[in-house]
Amino acid sequence: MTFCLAVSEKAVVVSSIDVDKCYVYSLDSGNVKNLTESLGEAYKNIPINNRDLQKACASFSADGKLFAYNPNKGKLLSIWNTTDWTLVENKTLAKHATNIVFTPKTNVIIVGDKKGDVYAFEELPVRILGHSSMILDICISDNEKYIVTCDNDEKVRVSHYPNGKNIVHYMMGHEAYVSGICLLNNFILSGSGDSTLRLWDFDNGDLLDKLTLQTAIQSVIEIGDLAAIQLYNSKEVHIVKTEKKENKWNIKNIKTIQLENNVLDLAVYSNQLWILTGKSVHKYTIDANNEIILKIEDVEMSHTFETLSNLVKSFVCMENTNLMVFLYNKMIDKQKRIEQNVNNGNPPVLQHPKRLKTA
Amino acid sequence: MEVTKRPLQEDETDRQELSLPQKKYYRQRAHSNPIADHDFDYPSCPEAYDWSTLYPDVTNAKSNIYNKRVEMLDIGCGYGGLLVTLSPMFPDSMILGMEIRVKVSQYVIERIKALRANQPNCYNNIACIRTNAIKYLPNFFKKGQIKKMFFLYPDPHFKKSKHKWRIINDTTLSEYAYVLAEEALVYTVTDVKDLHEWMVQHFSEHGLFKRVQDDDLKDDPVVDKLYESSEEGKKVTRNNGDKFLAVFMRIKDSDL
Ligand SMILES: C[S@@+](CC[C@H](N)C(=O)[O-])C[C@H]1O[C@@H](n2cnc3c(N)ncnc32)[C@H](O)[C@@H]1O
Repeated sequence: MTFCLAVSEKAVVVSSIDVDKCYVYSLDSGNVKNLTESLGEAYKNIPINNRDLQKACASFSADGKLFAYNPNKGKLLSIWNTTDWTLVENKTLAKHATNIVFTPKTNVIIVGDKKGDVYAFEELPVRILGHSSMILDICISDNEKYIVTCDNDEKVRVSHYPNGKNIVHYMMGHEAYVSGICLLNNFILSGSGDSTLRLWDFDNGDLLDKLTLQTAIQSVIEIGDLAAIQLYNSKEVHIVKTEKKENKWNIKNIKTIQLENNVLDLAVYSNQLWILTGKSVHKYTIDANNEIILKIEDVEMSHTFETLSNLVKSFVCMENTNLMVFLYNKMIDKQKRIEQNVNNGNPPVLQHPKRLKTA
Repeated sequence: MEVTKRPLQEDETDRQELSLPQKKYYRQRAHSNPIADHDFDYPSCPEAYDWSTLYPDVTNAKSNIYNKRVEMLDIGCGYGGLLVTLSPMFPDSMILGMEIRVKVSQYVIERIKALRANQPNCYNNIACIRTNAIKYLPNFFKKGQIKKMFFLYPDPHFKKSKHKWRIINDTTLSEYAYVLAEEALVYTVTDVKDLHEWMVQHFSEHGLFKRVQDDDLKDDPVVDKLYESSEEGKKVTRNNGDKFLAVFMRIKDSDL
């Protein structure tokens, strides 16, 4: 994802790392500000980075007072005060960020990177834990006692927080990169390039259920008791929930939202699900029954959507620096190699229970 | 009938070795990049692996290893000397060597095959797989499954820029701690002082390990075998090199 969407009570942020623009749209005033323009002369003079694989990341703190994102150049973590949208600080990262989140209570910024390390940014950056391949998503439990991470190596991991060196569980079973995770009550929901969503018991790490969708999963985000699922190169967003049936927990696909253009990113604020597509931004809300998702076609919001849509249309996507495209293509190449090997009469020692979809 | 195992006598060992695969046909470049992506065959989770392909005796109700799981690991086992030594010492334990170099691991696999053929009912508790131990331990093993882990003469990667390739580092130690049972032991030997100090420092600072004092190692029958069982150990002896030993115990998280 070289595009990214983040939402708070008062603002919507759309960012494109390829064109290095991070627009804040104020839901109160309707004003727009490009944060990247306020990073200073020195920043402007650095040539744009169009060689490295990048993933746009952005996040608001739970109280909405802070915002953090990664601009295109110089491996920066740019932190902003959202009351007046002034720059708090630019911190330098060891490696390109692949994920930025805030701890839910203490507002500490947690950054995962391409090397596989996770840092907490308090006064000084502290290395919390490391994976042996790049971090693709991070969740912190509400009580801030655990950190859940997933990586490019098919792993989902629960570690203690802040002592992330002590691993509670590895949740193994995915057969490609794990692109997204979220916490649903006492479960972890993970989505992968292998097209499956898996539901894990947080306490013992057991796999509870598996749901196969039609293609690779690109991101997973929780919204109340539900989760929204973005697919790779797709116009659909799936809404799933956990459900107990005959004493067994299942993942149930309760709704598919069909959009007119490819979905680029999802963001959640309270009971609102925001969807960024190639042409616009859409907002859905969940009602009290947790079941129905309504598209907001509010007249009052028309200015918002029009403005956001114009901003998004100015974005450009470069396939060759898009991290998620790279991961997807790499997975497909690997499947082809394995298939070829099998055809050449070198069957793998292991039984691969399922061939992955190639389309 | 009980299946018994009898350790080989010294002179027998020599004779056996004659029919064993010859190392010269299995040489390979000394280092392969452990961080690069290679295609390895690995299970998606421990439950997905059929261990009877490596240890046919796990399904043999009369065997000492019937229904057991691997509990000792020789990481970067090289040509497998330690595995062969440990096999008769721990007939009830399944011991696995993990080696990243294709030809070297093939050699060990052939070697074990030959040993088993020559000595029926022996060496059924050792095996070797080609894998990258830095990436795939949780694919093969469950939390707390391993009781002993060995790092004999790990690649030193002298240059500072290559330190991240060292098999002992902050990231890998957490993973090792995960597969190790509490009170499990990790044995390290190296002829490189700088690497010895690096390992001691990393294990000591990690928080889930404590160094076992030399006094407490006197009665451990394994320790004596560590210096010279493996091919690298023999080479260091031939070159009159130093040998630094450090043993660590997996401990509980003191903060929990
Ligand atoms: C210097 S040799 C020592 C071999 C053996 N332990 C001995 O004492 O004779 C180090 C071995 O570790 C292997 N190795 C290095 N990195 C590895 C990894 N990530 N996974 C598995 N084996 C690895 C190397 O291929 C090499 O054979």
